[in-house]
Amino acid sequence: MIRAQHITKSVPSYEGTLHILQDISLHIAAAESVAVVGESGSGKSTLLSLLAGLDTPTSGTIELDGSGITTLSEDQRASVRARLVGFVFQAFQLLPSLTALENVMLPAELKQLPNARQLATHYLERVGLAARMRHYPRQLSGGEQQRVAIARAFASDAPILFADEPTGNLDTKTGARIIDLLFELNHDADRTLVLVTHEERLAKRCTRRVQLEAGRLVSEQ
Amino acid sequence: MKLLLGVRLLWRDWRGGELGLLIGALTVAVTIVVGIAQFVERINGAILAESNEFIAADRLVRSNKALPQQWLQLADSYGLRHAQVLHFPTMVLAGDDAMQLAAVKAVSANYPLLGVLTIRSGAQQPGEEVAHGPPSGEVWADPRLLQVLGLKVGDKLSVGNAEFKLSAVVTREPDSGFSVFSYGPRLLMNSADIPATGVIQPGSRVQYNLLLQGDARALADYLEELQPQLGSNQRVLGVRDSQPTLALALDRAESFLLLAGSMGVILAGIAIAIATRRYTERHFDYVAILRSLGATSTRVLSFYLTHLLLLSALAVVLGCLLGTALQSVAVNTVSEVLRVNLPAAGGRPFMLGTATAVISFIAFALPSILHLQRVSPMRVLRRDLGTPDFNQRAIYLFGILGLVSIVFLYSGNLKITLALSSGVAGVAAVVLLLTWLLLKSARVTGMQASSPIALALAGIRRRAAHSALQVFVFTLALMLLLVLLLVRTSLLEQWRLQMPANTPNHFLLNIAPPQAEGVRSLLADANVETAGLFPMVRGRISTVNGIALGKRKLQNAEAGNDAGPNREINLTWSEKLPVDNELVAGSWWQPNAKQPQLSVESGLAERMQLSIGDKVSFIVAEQKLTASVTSIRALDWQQMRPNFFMILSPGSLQGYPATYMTSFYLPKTQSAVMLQLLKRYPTLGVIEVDAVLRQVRTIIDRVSSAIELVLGLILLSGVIVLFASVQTSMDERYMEQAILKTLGARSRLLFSSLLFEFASLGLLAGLLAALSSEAIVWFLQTRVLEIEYSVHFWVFAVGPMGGAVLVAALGLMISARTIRATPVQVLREA
Repeated sequence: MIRAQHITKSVPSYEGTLHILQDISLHIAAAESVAVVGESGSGKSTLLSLLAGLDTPTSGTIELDGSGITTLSEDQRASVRARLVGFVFQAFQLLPSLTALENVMLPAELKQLPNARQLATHYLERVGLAARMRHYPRQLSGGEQQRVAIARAFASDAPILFADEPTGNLDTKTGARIIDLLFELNHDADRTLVLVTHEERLAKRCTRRVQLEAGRLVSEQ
Repeated sequence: MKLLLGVRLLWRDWRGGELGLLIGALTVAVTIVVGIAQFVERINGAILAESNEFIAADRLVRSNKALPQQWLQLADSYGLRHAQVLHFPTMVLAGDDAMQLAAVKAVSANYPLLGVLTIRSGAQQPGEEVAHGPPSGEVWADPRLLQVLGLKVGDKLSVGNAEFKLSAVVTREPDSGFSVFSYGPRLLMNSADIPATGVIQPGSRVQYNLLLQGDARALADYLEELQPQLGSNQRVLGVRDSQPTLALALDRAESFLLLAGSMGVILAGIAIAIATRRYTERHFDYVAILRSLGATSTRVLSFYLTHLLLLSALAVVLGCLLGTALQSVAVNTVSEVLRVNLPAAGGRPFMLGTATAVISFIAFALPSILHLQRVSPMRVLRRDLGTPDFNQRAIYLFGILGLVSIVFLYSGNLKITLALSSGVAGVAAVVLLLTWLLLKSARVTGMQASSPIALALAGIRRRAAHSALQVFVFTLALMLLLVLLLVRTSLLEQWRLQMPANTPNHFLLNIAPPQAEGVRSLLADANVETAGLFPMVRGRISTVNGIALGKRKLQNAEAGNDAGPNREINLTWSEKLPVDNELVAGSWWQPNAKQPQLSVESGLAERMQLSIGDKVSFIVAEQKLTASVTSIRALDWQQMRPNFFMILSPGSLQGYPATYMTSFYLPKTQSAVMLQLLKRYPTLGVIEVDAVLRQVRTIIDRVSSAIELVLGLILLSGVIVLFASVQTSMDERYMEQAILKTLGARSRLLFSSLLFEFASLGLLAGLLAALSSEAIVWFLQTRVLEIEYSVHFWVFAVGPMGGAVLVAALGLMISARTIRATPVQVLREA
């Protein structure tokens, strides 16, 4: 489902070129769940942004569902994202001026799916927010906002789901509930899940974990 | 479908409260334009209508021959109202031996087409306003004529072969200042009685006027058809021709109002730019999320374009409604002061409002919106990434281009557009330079939170680009307000100086040389100060450089008043260059010249294409006199002093029959002096310009009130822009203040630091505004309004101080809520 080969990412900095990722190759099969772990600054989020097509590598190639995305323009990658990718972010990234329901409907609307509202309602019910659909993000707690974000990720109907520290902004108890919810939904929907975390609990739930250290892939379990 | 989603997102955005400032700014822009344009149009209309009473008509055709009957029929066919007025001097007799030279005005039934006459049926009777002339068989006369001839209302008097009943005295005529033959007191009669008098014979000096009034379009069409039929001594006149003083005042008032309106437009443009910028910045995250969810850049752009188009449409509708409401409030206020009925405005203000919204949208909003499509989706992972760099130069360039086009569209005046645009561009350049210097200067470490001043200065430097933008906006707003204030003050001052209380209100003509000394001493005994006695010889120009006048090809051969080349002209001589005259070419008299020398007024020299060295021959008292042009003079026709088109060197006119003339101010309380003069010297000609002066003053007063009102409106929009700009800058300070508070900073420190920060930005802006406004005012006064310019030193004190106080006050007013709030509240909102 996802194939990365010899990818590197370098950026210029005051002290010369900074190598964020170096020669990373990775293959993730459909319906697999993979945890990317490592210390702060090890390049986890950068790897996720490259795999999801939010950014392009300095060298190497990435394929999503069989088609290469590294040579595509930003707009072409946007179309690929719309078709294949869903996100859950550490900072939730909900649009403040939209209600919970409207936030969840948004990806389906962008794809021009006719049943955006039904899809959104369904997933909001699944995450237990049926009663709070008309609330704005600022009226919701952190855990509730992340549940809206999860509902949005699944409502996009995308086969691949990327999650960047989904429990990073939440307390332990709420985080645990979010993890349960994420895996439960993923199990039902049969999506490919790639998540970046430094939380052991979360990593353990995945079928595989890859460890990054200073921009290099050091182990796969 | 895409459009639908755009509309849905807009609706959601609206409901979420994100669009308030933008729609507000766009609406304010359209409101200002529509409101001021309507107001200016209506005020202009009213002032023009009022001024037209000066000629008792909208337009007038003046002729030295009887008016052809077909001109009147043609006027009828265009649906125009018309009246005829004849002016001629004649002797009026009363009793057995009393006689006086009077200025007769014979009017037809429709006179006056505009305005009213004031008459009295007896010396003690109250004045009565009438909109017609005397009936056939009756005459109305100036009270002075009654005094000189010893008559009272009801008596009989004779004009030529006919006898008339003097049925009223006339104290005010709308078009009193509009006659060349106002020698002597006025006698008003019905034109139907003229044949019976037999005073008009072939060769008589009579001025025939055709007064016209009606629909502007029809009038223009009529005059266009008439134009080719006009002879060399027939011309079409409007109010501007009758009163140079008033014409200039009206021109300047119009320029001022256009200027004020243009400034309103600029201020509105700034408000839009600020609001769009803020809207755009607040939407970076929004766009990043949309993009991470797979929206392409075209898609993002189309969303925002839909947003802005819908918003602009809404703003146009709201702005037109609000502008009209605002204008009607203003009109209600002002019509009390102006005591006039304002005509309704046309469709132009609404078109201007719409055009403003469209141009503002393209020039001020579009560049920022185009940036939105460049927001990277990476921003969802790292907020420090994916903020597109604003291309400042492109934004300023777009803005300035937009500004130039709107101001030009609005004012239709290239000079005003040039002055304002270069002012704005100059300010932009200086502010960019300052920003660059701020950014270059070493950035201080930390927030310097120990003292309020250090904290404020560190803040300004840390946010150099933002601070610069604010200084730019503050400067522009303050600059525009200062320009308006300065120009208005000069304008009103100029008008005040031009029409001082002791402006000469009487002209004495036809003073024979033996009478000169007597007149001089009589006036001196009565403590009446004159402009001096000027000799006057009437002559006719016959040739220029030996070529007969008729053979010379001249532009505007009929232009010029009684100094036209085919008419008689008043010549004078003078030792010295008269006061208020300025040499623009050549030099004053050469002491040893053998030939007579001639100095020509610059306007006439231009019309007659005369230059230094040309030889002009006159026929004076049947003799030929040739003089060389040795100088060209510019003179101020607005001063109520005897002025001459042509002055000869002393001695040139020796031996020719001369009379003298003078002008002076005579208060009402001293009217006995005039009676005494006329009794002693019945052949004197008197022109009284009191009524004219009064009318000019009234109109100028009204124009002044209108200007004050428009100034008020613009001041208000200036404050709105300042307010919006300060508000925008609060976003960034919000978080900073919350953090400082959390870390234990006391409200007092935050308050003082904000005060200092805003005050220093305001001080700098005020200084820049003072400098740039002086430059613009210099240009406007010397090149557009033609008013003398002198540096306003007070501006350099008031500008910076006023800027500091105003900006600091606004800043504190807006941030008071944040300072009082607890850190938790602020952090949650931020």
